[in-house]
Amino acid sequence: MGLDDSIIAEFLERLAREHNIPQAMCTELGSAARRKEDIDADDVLRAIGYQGDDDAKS
Amino acid sequence: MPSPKLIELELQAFRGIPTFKRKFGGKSLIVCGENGSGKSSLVDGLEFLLTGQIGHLEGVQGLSTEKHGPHAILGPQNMLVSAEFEGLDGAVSRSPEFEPEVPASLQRMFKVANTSKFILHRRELLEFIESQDSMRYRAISGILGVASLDSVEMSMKRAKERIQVRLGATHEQYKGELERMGILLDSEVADRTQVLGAVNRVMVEFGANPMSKMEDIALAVKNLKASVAGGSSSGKADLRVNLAKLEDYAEDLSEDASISVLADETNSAIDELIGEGGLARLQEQTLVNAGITILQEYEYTYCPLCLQQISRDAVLASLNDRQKTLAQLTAQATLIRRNCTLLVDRIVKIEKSAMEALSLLRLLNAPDSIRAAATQIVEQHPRLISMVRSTSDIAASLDRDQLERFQSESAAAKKAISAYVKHEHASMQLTKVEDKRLDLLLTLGKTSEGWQRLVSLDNKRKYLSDKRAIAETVFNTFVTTKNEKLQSIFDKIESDVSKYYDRLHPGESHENVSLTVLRRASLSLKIDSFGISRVEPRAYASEGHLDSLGLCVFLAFARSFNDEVGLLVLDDVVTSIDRSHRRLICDLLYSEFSDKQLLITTHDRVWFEELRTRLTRYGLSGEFSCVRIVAWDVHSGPRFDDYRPDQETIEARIESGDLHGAGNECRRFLEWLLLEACIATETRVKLRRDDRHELSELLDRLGKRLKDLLSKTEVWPALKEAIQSLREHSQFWNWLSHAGQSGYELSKVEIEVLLECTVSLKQLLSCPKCGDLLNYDGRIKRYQCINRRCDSCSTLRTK
Repeated sequence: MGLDDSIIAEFLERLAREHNIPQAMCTELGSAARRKEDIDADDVLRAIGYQGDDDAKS
Repeated sequence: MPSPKLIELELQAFRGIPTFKRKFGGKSLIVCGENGSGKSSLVDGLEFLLTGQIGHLEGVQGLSTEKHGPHAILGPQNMLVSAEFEGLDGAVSRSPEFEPEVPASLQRMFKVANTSKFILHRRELLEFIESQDSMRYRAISGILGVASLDSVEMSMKRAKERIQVRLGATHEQYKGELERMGILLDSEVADRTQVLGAVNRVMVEFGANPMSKMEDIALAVKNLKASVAGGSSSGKADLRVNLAKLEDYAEDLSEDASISVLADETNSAIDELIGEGGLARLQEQTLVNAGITILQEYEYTYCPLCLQQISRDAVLASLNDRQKTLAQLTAQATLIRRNCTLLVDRIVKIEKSAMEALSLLRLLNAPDSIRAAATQIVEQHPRLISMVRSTSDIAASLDRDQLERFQSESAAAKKAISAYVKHEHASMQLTKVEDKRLDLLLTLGKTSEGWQRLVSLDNKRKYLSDKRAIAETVFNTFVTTKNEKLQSIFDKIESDVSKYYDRLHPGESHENVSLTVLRRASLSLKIDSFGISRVEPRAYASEGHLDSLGLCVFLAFARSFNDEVGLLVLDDVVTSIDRSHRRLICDLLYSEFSDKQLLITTHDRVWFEELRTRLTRYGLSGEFSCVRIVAWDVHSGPRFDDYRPDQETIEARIESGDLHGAGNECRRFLEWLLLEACIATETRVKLRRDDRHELSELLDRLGKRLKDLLSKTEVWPALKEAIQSLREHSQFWNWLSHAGQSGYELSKVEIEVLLECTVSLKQLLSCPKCGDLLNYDGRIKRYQCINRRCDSCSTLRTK
């Protein structure tokens, strides 16, 4: 495992442990982060369950 | 686990080498040659094989591996680099046409070589030290293989910012809705909770019962509507509501003369801008602004267009001046764009109201002439928007006539609709009570719609606020994790850098190197100098010290991250480092990096000798090959001579009839011996700016020193005789030192005599077992062999 992957793994572990981020969200964030150069802000927004600017309703 | 060692390297038509093939046999190699003799081509060959690139040719204007990798005459079609590695059958080859087929056992090495750095060039030594914190971080993150995480971090930051922007906009919408509610209910409404009180005041005023909660408003509207419909006003309620809406839409069609004013102001600015070649200058302005941003925020030290090194401060000052000059144009352009945005907003608003009005007019079966007035406005909309957007791009002036026509037609439509509403309202023949009830119904209806929007916006605010908190947590946790991890690595590297640096500069005033992750993508490098802690290395250190610091950083990284690339290449890296520190570099390399396969190139013969002679001390003679490049031309490339001890080289030249060459070699041999012996015996010699010494001065000083130290020992008579013999032949080396000026060439016999005297002195000053020069240790007053691997060291007790 490269240093970049180990940083991502530790980041996900801390999200779950220290901030109680749900496991499903951590999984989504992990798969987005592992795309590395190919990731964009939309991937992150999707991973945290953001419904999109127009659909962000109650 | 270290990678397999290099067994053989072959270069064809590569850089300055037409053809080269050498068996390394897993050994390290030290290459000495003049500048431009092809040393770096060997280094480039290894880099090309492992990475497919020649780093110093990339990112420089007009240079590339593709264009300048191949030999200047033989061309790319003949270019090939191949190598054999320990334990593998067959060679691994790369050319411009094909990638190497990398065997499994070498794949990790090739991968690491692509992300890490295993070659250090002379010009790179200062680069790392002198670069800005952000550039330094970029270089290091590449070496560590975490550069890709920058994209992850940026994406998380952008995600957080996008939610923040959306939250801000939603908050503004919420505030706007509250304000509208306040106007509608004629009350101060600062918060959602104050709406109920304001509505109830209106209801009581109209004689209706107040509500206990806002959720009841839909029911209140329904009941009121039923009571109106159930009474004498049957059927009038809907009509009254529709007429009220129609009145609102008609109101939105009303525009003052601002469309014409905006058009005139915009056209005036457009005329000035286009008239002065403003478009090109505006684009220049964009470029200047982008340049300032890049230099300020990203701290570039090179031009992003031509990739040349720049003085950042000077270029920033120049760009700021230019920006001021162009500011006037920018102001015009800003005015045009702002006006166009306002125009588009107004046109869209009018068109939207006209559409809504048209829909109601159809429902109410209004006369065709009134509907036609609204239709006309709707139909003009796309053409007008397109025109205004073209003006916003500074492409054309606004067609003022079209805009005026649109404005007057809107006013006419408004007038027609208002008249229609008034007529319909009058024809309803409402009683005062009915009118009052219908007014309340209208107010409550609008309040109910507004309340729904308010609730929706408030919920959206809460939703966005929650998501922003998550996005912030994600971003902060990622940055913290990454920076902590990197910092722990830097702490480890720091200790290696400081350890190596202390070995190169023992007891000096620079120590405790620190590498610290700063804000995003930024890495500071500090050192304690003269008791002042954590200063920028350039503050007090010399160029030589900075070079050796760069070398230490490179070696520390190589030790931590390049273990899977067994090769470590130092390409001519000690130019600015003085003689005594070079010796310490030898010791550092041989003691700490003897597990690596080293390729060391130098143009400095003295450093080469230093590297070569100190191999014995570390028992590494069998692990290294030493070669000299004796000639180079573009057709035949470098000519390598395997190193032979000087005595043999000189004898070979004498044998081949090259008396001139033999004489020069002999003088250099003597010069090297006298200098080394002076260092080894701590002989005081006058310092000279050019680091060059007269041989007679060195011999005199050394002779006196040896007499002081060894006159009571058994070797002194022989030493005295050897020194005397060299003195007697001093005219020989004087002629050699001034070769070409005296016009005198030494004869074969004279060179042989000089060589014999030199060899004789060297033998007397060396350990008979290992051949290393003996060293004087003042603490124990002994003149002795200090080779730790020499098992029968010669020792002389001195005075």
